[in-house]
Amino acid sequence: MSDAAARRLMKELNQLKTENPAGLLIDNTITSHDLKQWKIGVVGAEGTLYAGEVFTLQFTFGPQYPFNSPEVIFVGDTIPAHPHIYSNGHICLSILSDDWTPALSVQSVCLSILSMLSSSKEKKHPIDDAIYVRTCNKNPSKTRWWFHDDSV
Amino acid sequence: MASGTTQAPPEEPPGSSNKDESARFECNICLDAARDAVVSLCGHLFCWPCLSQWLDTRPNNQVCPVCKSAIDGTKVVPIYGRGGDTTDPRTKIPPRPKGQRSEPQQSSFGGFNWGGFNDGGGMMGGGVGHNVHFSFGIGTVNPLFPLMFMLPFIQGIFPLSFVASWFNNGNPGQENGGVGGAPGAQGPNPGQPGAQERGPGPYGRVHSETAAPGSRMAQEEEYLQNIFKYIGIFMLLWLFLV
Repeated sequence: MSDAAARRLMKELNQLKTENPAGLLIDNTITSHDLKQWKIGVVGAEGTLYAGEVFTLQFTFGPQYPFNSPEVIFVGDTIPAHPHIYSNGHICLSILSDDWTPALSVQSVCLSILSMLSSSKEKKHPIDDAIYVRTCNKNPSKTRWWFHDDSV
Repeated sequence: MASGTTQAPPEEPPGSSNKDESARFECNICLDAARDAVVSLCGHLFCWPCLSQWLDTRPNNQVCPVCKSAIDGTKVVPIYGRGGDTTDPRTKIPPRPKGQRSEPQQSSFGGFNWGGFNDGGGMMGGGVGHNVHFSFGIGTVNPLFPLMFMLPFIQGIFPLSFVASWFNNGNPGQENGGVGGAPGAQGPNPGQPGAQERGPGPYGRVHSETAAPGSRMAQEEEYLQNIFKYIGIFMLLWLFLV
């Protein structure tokens, strides 16, 4: 991890801890010693299909962060059933690959995913889930995503 | 804050306003205070090294990290604060682009000296046409003066001789008769009546003050005018015949 990346991640972590945004649970195990991988809890917003459910997002930062997007997947026992989330935790979201910009942050990615969950109309995985999960690379950034549905 | 309350404003933790103050000038990429600061045309602040690295990361999709408007590394504006860095920014690679300086615009008539026109007017009009040249050369600038600049267009529409008589026509103290070569003087000229109603401009007034009708000066001027008129007519005839 480069110096600049560590500096920026440290700033983001401090900001997350002081602001404590609604709907996000900051893992206390994130320390300045190992900033490479973060786990952040996401609480489904009230009044949505996922109200009250807690999911875990795993951020993995490369040495080029923030110029390259972090790898973000759902981990743990509960992967939300969502038309853009595969059952292995991979997320089809444009800002995680093509539309990433260094002005985005851990917090903005979390809020985007929370918003994506909130606008879901039915709890089911994408139609190509079975094939994708069997054939995909472990790293979602190796997937050529095709973004076609802005409604959810 | 609601007015009329006697409560003291809620106490802010010390340093929070300081934090806001500095956050305004943080680079949008590294989140530190911007160094070698540049601002994009869309108004977003970056360190030049950060922005340049981002532009290198996506060479064929150069967008502002904040608002995704198109961004050009050569068209960002560097910000020079007081004090700041004393090192030459060009020692960094790639060099921070220079600020764009443009000279303040000067209106084309800003330095124009109207008072000198009686002497230098001939030079001004010289490029426009013979008739204008002799008309101004004797210092009888008439109120239709601004129309001089339309001459090239007018000449395309009306006969040349008509224009010549028309320019001399607006001259106070000048008789209309006696000019053999003004066949179009009574022609349809929509601009003429309105222009004459305006009365003599500054030049007409100056002219009538310095040369009262009947005085020797006026006679001399009339004599000169006639000479120039005949020269003009001769030139026009020559133009037509050649």
